[in-house]
Amino acid sequence: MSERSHLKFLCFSLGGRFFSLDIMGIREILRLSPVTSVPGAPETVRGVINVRGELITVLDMRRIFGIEADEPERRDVRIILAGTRSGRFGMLVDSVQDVVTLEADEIDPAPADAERGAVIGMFKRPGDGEGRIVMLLRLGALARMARGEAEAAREGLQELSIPEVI
Amino acid sequence: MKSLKGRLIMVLAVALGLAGLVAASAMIARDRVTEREDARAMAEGTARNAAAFAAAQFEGSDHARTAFKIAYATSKAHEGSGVVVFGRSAKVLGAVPAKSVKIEYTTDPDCKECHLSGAATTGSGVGTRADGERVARSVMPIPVEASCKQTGCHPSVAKPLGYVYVQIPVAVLGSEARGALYLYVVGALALFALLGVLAYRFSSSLLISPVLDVVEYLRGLSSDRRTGRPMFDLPGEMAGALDGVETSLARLSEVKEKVPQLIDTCAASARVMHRLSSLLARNMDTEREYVVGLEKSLIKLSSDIKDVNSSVDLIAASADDNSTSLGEMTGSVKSVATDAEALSNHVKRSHGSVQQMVRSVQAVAEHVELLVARVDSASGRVGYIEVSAGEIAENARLASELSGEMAGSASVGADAVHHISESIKTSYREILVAADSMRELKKASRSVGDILKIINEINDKTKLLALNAAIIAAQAGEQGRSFAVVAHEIKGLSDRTAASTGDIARIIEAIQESVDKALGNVSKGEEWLGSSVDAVEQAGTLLGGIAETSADMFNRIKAIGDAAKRQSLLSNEVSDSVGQVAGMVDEIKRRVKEHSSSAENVESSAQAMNALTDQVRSAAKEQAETSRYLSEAFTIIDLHLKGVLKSFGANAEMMTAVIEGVNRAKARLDDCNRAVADADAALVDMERGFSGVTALVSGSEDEPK
Repeated sequence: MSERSHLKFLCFSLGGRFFSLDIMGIREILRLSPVTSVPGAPETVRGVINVRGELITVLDMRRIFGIEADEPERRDVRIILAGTRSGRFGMLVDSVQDVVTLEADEIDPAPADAERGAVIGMFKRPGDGEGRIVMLLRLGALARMARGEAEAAREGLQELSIPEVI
Repeated sequence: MKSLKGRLIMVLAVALGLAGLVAASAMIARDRVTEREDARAMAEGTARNAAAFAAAQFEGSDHARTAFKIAYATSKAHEGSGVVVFGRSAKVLGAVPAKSVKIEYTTDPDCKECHLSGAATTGSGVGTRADGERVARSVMPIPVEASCKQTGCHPSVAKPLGYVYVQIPVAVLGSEARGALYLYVVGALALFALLGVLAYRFSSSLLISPVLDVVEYLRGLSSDRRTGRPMFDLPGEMAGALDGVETSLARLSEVKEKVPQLIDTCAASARVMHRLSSLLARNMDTEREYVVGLEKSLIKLSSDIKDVNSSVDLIAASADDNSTSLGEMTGSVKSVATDAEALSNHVKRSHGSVQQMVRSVQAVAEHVELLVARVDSASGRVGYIEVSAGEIAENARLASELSGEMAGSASVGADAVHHISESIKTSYREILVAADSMRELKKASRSVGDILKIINEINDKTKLLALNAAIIAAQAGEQGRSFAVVAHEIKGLSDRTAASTGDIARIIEAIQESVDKALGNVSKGEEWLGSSVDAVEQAGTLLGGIAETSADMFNRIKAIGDAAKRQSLLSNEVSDSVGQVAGMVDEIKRRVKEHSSSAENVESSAQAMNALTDQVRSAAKEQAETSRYLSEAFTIIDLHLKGVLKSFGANAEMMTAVIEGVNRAKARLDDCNRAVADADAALVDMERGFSGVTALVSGSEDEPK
């Protein structure tokens, strides 16, 4: 990691705005497969999906960022599968754009408590004539959010005397 | 009561008027008495005024001029008056009118006296002038005025300056006085009129109301609503007039009753006249029949006339015999005169019938004139028909040409329409084929769209793979660099594919839209073409019908043209016939004219005979030669009858008249024969008488022996 002078980010869009995540935390991009909603779960959790036998919690990123629900069954709706030390989770996004490579000084710090503390910086999207801004999200915050929700979900399951899955 | 009062007022007014008249006549009488005195007074006054005027006027030395002026002015006052101004020694200074007055006053005994004595005396009087006219005279002295005394031109004041002599005819004065009298009389009459008006006004209501009653009664009479004669006291004349009115009304009602009969008669006459006029208004054929009938009757008439002619010859011969026997006849003057009287009557009657004949001949002439006019108009009409027939034939020829052209055009049009119909059908089929191809195209483009969907699906997956590969390559670090390049390339490919598929999708969409539009248009075109085919087929049928109809029309018009040509020929013939008829009618006219003149000749000879018979009648008393005249007259009649019969070309009426005339002549000849027989008998008597006388004479001769 030391020799990494170039930083790579995966860009995706949500309601016409662009966001990005450090590519090192991304495991896979999935096409939208049926999401099983979880009763009693908070609104920010869309449900769970089965990825090759593993149950993954999927966050609804639009709801997380307070973006009004747009047509949900768009063709290029994607689920970004991220993996951290605390576990894996999925994020439902409008579309995945591409992988961008940036220098460190190209990233500006985010204003305080922007986007619930999930945004750590921002940069101008390279090759974009319109000069649109891409928000760089902190994956750990999203992971905590997903885990918290997962714990809440587990609490609900315990009440139902169902043995812990994860 | 009222009428009585009115009458009283009227009587009063009349009495007043009479009183006025009496007063006026009294005044006239009085005036006659005082006329003389008035004349004298007038003359005296005039003279005195003139003298006073002269006294003031005589100034200076030119007395003659002043005197003349005074005399002239004074003489103007009365018509016919004379004025003389004398000097103090009775010298005449001026006189108007100069001559007559001079003579007058010198011859006037009154004047002469003073004139000769040289001392003028003053005074007035009425006397008779030398010419017998009564005149009033007056001589007045011209007083000497104070001024004159002062100037001292006339120192002696004992004598006047001179004298003025005035002479006025009493007649003039009388007429002036009468003028005044007339004024009185007019005044009296005006007063009377006023009184009359007043009386009328007072009595108008009394007089008018009966008059109004009368008027109302008369209205009732006039409107056949008889109200009964009003009971009022009417003046005699008015009552008489009312009686007259009633009588007239009664007559009027009688006449009224007769009026419908008269109207019926009039209507019947009108109907008869109508029938006659309708008969007159008959057409050419009837007229032609008339002419033919007339011709026939003329032929018959001429044969009849021949018969009559021979009988008249016989009559003439017997008349000749008679005339010879009459020539031999002597004496028996009385009988002959009587017979001549009878003969004269017969001749007169004969004259009357001849006049009748003349009239009928004239009537025939008029009818023939009418006939000529008819024939002329008929020939004019026939000529017109001829011209019209010619025009019809020409028009028919033109029309047949036109219809022939039309038939040709129609058949050409029908062919053209057939071609159009064929091409439209062909294009319709082609369009149907094109529509099928377009439907095929639409299907094909849909399958292309399906394929594109598959391509897009694959591309999507490829893109995802590329992304995941890029992620994995990035996480692999240096080891994944080459892999990252491949992943990037794959992504680029997939992007390009996506762009191409997008383009293809858009193109296919556009194609599909166009095809849809084209198919819509094609279906519309199909409808239009279908209807066009129908219309063209209809047009073809119609044109075929037109061609047939115009061929038919061509034949018919040709037939009309032929008929018109035939009609033209026929009307030529008719025209010729009418011309012949016209010639015949002219001939008839000429003959009638001849006959008319002959008839006039007959009439004139009849008149001559009339005169002759008159002469005969007068001469018969003395002359046995009368019979010769009669014979001559017969000969003349005979001659003229022959002339008449030769020129007869008229109808049976004239014939009858002639026969009547001949009959009368026969009768007349019978009379004549009888007269001759009588005359013979008288002659026998006379001979007997003569022989008796001879016997007596011989006896008396014997006796003295």
